[in-house]
Amino acid sequence: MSMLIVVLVVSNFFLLGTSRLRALIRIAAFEGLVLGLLPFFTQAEGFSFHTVIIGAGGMLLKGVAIPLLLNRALRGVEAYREEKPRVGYTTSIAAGIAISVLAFWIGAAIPRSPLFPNPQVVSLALCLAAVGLFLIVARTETVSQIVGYLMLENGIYTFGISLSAQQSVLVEMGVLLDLLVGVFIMCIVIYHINRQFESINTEELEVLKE
Amino acid sequence: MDTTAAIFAVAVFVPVAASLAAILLKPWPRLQTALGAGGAITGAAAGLYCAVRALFLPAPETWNSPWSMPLGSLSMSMDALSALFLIPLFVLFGLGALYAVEYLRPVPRERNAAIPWFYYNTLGVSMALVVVAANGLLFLVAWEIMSLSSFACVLHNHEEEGSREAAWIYLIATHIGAAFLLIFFLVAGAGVGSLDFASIAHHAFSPALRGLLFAIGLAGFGSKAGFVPFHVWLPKAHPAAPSHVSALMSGIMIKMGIYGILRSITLLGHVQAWWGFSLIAIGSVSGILGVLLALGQHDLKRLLAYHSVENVGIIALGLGAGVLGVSYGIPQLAFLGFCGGLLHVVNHAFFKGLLFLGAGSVIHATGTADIDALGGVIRKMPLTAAGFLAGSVAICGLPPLNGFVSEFLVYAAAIKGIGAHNGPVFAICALSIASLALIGGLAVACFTKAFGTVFLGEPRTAAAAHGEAGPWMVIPLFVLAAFCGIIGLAFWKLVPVFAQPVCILTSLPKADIVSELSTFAPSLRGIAIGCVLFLACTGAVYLLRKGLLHKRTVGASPTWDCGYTVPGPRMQYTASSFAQPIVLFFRHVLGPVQTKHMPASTFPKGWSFRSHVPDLLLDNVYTPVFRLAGGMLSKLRWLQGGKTQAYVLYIAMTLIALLVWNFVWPR
Repeated sequence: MSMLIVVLVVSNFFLLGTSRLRALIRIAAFEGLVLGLLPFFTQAEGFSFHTVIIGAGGMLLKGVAIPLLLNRALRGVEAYREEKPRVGYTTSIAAGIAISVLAFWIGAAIPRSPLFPNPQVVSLALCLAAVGLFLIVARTETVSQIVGYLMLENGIYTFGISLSAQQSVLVEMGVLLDLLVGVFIMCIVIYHINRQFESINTEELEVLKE
Repeated sequence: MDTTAAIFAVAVFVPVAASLAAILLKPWPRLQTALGAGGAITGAAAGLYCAVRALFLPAPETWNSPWSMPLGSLSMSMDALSALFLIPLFVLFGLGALYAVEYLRPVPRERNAAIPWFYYNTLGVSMALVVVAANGLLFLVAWEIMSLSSFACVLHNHEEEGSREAAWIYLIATHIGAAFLLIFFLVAGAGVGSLDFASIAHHAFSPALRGLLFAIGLAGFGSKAGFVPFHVWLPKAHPAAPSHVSALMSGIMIKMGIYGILRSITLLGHVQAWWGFSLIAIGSVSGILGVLLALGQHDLKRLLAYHSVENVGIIALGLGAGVLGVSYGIPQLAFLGFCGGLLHVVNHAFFKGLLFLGAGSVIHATGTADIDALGGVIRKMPLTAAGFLAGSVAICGLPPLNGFVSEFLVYAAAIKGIGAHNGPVFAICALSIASLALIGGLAVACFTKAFGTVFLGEPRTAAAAHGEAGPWMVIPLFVLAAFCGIIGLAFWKLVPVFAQPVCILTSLPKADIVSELSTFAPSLRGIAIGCVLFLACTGAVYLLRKGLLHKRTVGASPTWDCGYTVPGPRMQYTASSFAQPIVLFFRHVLGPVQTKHMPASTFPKGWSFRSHVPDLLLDNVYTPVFRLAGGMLSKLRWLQGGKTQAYVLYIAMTLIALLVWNFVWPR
């Protein structure tokens, strides 16, 4: 389990350090697949119907379906890389390190209780959610923001599976949020068909403000 | 037990599911209506069965299921108190659905006919859930669904500016109330560690905390009930909503506030005397202001909405007396007060439902709710007029209908309080009697005005001359009028029904309650018999007259026209001229606005007169406060820069701040 957590935290740095959108999608897909393995280790019941559904469902959605949709959305678009990030890549990685340190410090400070059997997984959840928020704030391309949102939602999913099994509402909520990501992506696809704007930069949305 | 739960599940799911399915069937509006109404009526019948059954059970029926929401559990409980609210709810919900079949026709082509049904059915079901919820979180969720679905119902005519304004005012008012309720449950749950009502009821709160919780609950529930000063949304929202929704909102939804107050009394345990004093004070103010403001209105539905404020005032007078009785240990005061208040809850649901449906029929036929544009409607719509008349008699508290019995009990409670040899109780009960008397007199004046101007006389405009409503709209009126009559004439038979809920509220033995309430049986029976005899005499005189005139020719001629050459319908008393003496008498409270251009010369060109009674609280308190707040908050506009990144940054910063706060100052 610690192995999985390390892999996920390290791939977060790749996510923060890359400017290429396709790489971003690929890393997100990889994280989704790894995350799908996590429930088998955290849930006390091990290989049960419930964990298989959560794990396999998570893998299928986060690791396969959404990356495919995102790639499709990118097809035929000139955007290959983040042109003008609000925060540079080196600074982003530094921020990622700070986030990870903070997350694991908080995880260590969580008092032991039956509700949180795996404090490291809670740390991972915080880390993923914070990286997701950071990506949304620091990037301007829509695809990067969706990946950020996906990360945030991965954090919620991870938090859900870190809890004891009864509290599955968070996991279910996570799956629902996944569907929302799907809708986001569909929106971009439609947005492109319409070709109202020339790029998919979210700065363009500023014209919508009141 | 399980079958009851299943039947109640039918009552909850069928109306929503049927109307949800109907939304997909846009090409067939008739089928949509059938599904929407059929679902509502099935649900109402099932719910009614459960509620009537629960009324006579000594112990509450509970149903529990874990819910994967933090602090929440799907625990529901139906005791006699819930049942007493559920019965009028389901009656009015079913009858309103029947009524709406015709009322909502014709559906504009571009509208989906099922959407009003969906909101109406959701509103009905969510109120049933509010009443049975036995967990704070479930209660709040049901409460919120109720608020939002009624908001959507108010927006029915969303093309109209006034309708949208009313809906916004309602949404803001209801959410301010909900904020108080959130605090109420958080504070109550913090001491207990659970939001289940069963655990809260077993917890012993400190007297100070109990008082604080009651005050918070009173503000939160009071804003839904429409107590002055939280009543401003009522006269906006009720006229804007379709009439069957107004009936449900005014008849039942505002009672959810009353239910909340009663439920919090049972949850908090030992009542404190000041709760009773404040309830009576609020009740007096609401009752008198409500009826006075009603007198000044020209819009039929707004008039009825202000009467709802008056009637929750009467309910508060009863409940306040009950609370005083419990806290000072005066059992008769407690029984009579609570019984009067609860009976008035049920009664008001029936007669106000009746009045709103009747007003809706008139509006549906004539296309206007302006009292001064109507007149003489009784000749075209005699059945609707009969129903409206029954409702008017009931709401004025006149025998033999139900309003009389509940006001009688509230009076009786106050008289018991006067005789209790307790200074403060004497004073507040005297206030209660004085307010009740004033309310009763003014209500009669107001309904004389409303009924007289709308139904009697000559039509004032062409709009007023339209035919009778169809059977779908007439039958519910008569069913409701029948309920008013039954409660009015046979209340002494219904005493045991009210004993169990009063027993829950006072935790005093049921036998005492029944015997105490039964002491009023002979006088109530006497009044009922007297009324029946009076009605029989009137009928006999009418028949006698008919018989005597049988073979003679009877001519009809216009009323003596004072020698005017061209008497017209505009020479009749209008609603404002009828109410003017009273409105002027209370001008310092009401602040009526008159705009007049009087004839100046010998041959005047034109003149006009217009009078209007504004809601001073809305115009002088809420509007300036909200405008000031809006002005101050507009300085924060720079926060809304239009960048999504910035918005997410705000969220992230808040989350991090909360996290750090939690770790730097752990509890």
